Amino acid sequence: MPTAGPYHSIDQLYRDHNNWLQGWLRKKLGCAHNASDLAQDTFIRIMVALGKRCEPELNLKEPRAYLTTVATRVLINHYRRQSLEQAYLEALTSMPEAVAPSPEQRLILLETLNEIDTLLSALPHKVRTVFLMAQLDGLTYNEISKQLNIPDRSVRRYMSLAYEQCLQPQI
Amino acid sequence: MSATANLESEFGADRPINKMVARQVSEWLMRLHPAGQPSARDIAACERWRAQNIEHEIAWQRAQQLNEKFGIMPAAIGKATLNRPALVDRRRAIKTLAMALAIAPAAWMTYRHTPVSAWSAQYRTAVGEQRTILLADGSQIILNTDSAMDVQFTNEQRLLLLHRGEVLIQTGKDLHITKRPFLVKTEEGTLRALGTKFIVRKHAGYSTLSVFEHAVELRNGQTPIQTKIVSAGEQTRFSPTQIDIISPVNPHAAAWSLGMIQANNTRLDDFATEVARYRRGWIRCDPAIADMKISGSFQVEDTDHILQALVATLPIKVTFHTRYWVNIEPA
Repeated sequence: MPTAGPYHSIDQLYRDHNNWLQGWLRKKLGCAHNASDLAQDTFIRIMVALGKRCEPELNLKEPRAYLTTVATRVLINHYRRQSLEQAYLEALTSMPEAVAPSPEQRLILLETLNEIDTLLSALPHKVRTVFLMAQLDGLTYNEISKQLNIPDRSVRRYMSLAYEQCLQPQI
Repeated sequence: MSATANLESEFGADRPINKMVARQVSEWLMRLHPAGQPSARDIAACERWRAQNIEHEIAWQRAQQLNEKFGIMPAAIGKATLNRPALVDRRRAIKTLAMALAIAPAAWMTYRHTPVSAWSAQYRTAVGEQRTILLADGSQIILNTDSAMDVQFTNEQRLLLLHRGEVLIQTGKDLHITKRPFLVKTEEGTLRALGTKFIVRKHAGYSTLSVFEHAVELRNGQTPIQTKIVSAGEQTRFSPTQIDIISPVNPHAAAWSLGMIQANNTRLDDFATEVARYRRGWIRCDPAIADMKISGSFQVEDTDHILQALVATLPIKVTFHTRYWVNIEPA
């Protein structure tokens, strides 16, 4: 039987609700294997969050509401990563053999892509396009404004929005 | 990068950057864009701006790190992936995301792949950087490229935790009342210095130890636990469960601490891998020429120069696909 709240320790939270959380995730995913991985990730994420706020103790009155909120975020990331991996594989297969990266390099590149993709995921598509033109093609703001046919000050605004997002702490 | 390590540990890696500062960073980067041929005055003005306020400097350093990440990426792959069309429910996902944002910090994915210890380490070096550190007991440490290490001295022991990379240690004489042991730990095991000079390098899944003076006692981390003494002129490698046979030390194993890579009839692909440790991005060696041999001394601080030297001595060519993506191919 789950202990009555409020919850003060993550151990207790894990013992009482891990199975329930896995069930919840399984329903969303339709796959038991991923569900247990993502449940683990949910708890790790909570632990990291607690560590960061320097609060050794939880004080949870509605543990399941809290868990589903965190798990939703984990799920979104899971889908984001899946779609990234798919796009990445497609991009790799269209590359000429001679310049294709080695398997090890592919992995490094994927992790770097994932980091950046996480940062950019909350940005509107237009902002992302402008930012990527500056970063990947090395274009000046002026050149971007000409290519996309948008005013120079929009490019500046988008760039500063993107930096605002990307310069936030990442740990 | 070592500047960032210090800044971030002093002022907190979780320091947020405000909107105004982010805008200024973006304006500075535009003003200093190489295509615009920035003047010495612009560069100096930017340096003044960075020095004005610690938040400016942190924001600037983070922007540089981000630019480096983009630097290793071929533009075609970057665009095909990062700018992929939105999924149908991506929009909905983002809404939920905004709600969930208040709950937990971002980048848990990164957390899964990099041990937390490697980012929060006391001493770090960037790719291509080397750093000499003098410890409180007089021990001298040289940290090689792309390394991370913590130092924990207590009344009982002098402990060095190597999370990533490579370190040369020359232990000092401990003047502490109790004679404290000098220990080095990696994920795979623990080394106990028996008055000595040695190198420890952390690889994925194993570590290596090379001893130049006196001896080191080595103990792997998991059962079956073994203990071996590795003496001057010897080297070995160890995983959590096993210590390999001890062999003669590679005479050039410490060349890096003098800023050199030493090749002695070395295979080209091995040499490329070694050079790549000191250079952001990748160096790919075409399998067709992988077994060509190379000899000589090379300065690690100028890897461009090393690549030019290769072209001058071997029938190969070097092509740059991006700033950071280098291919070594048959000429």
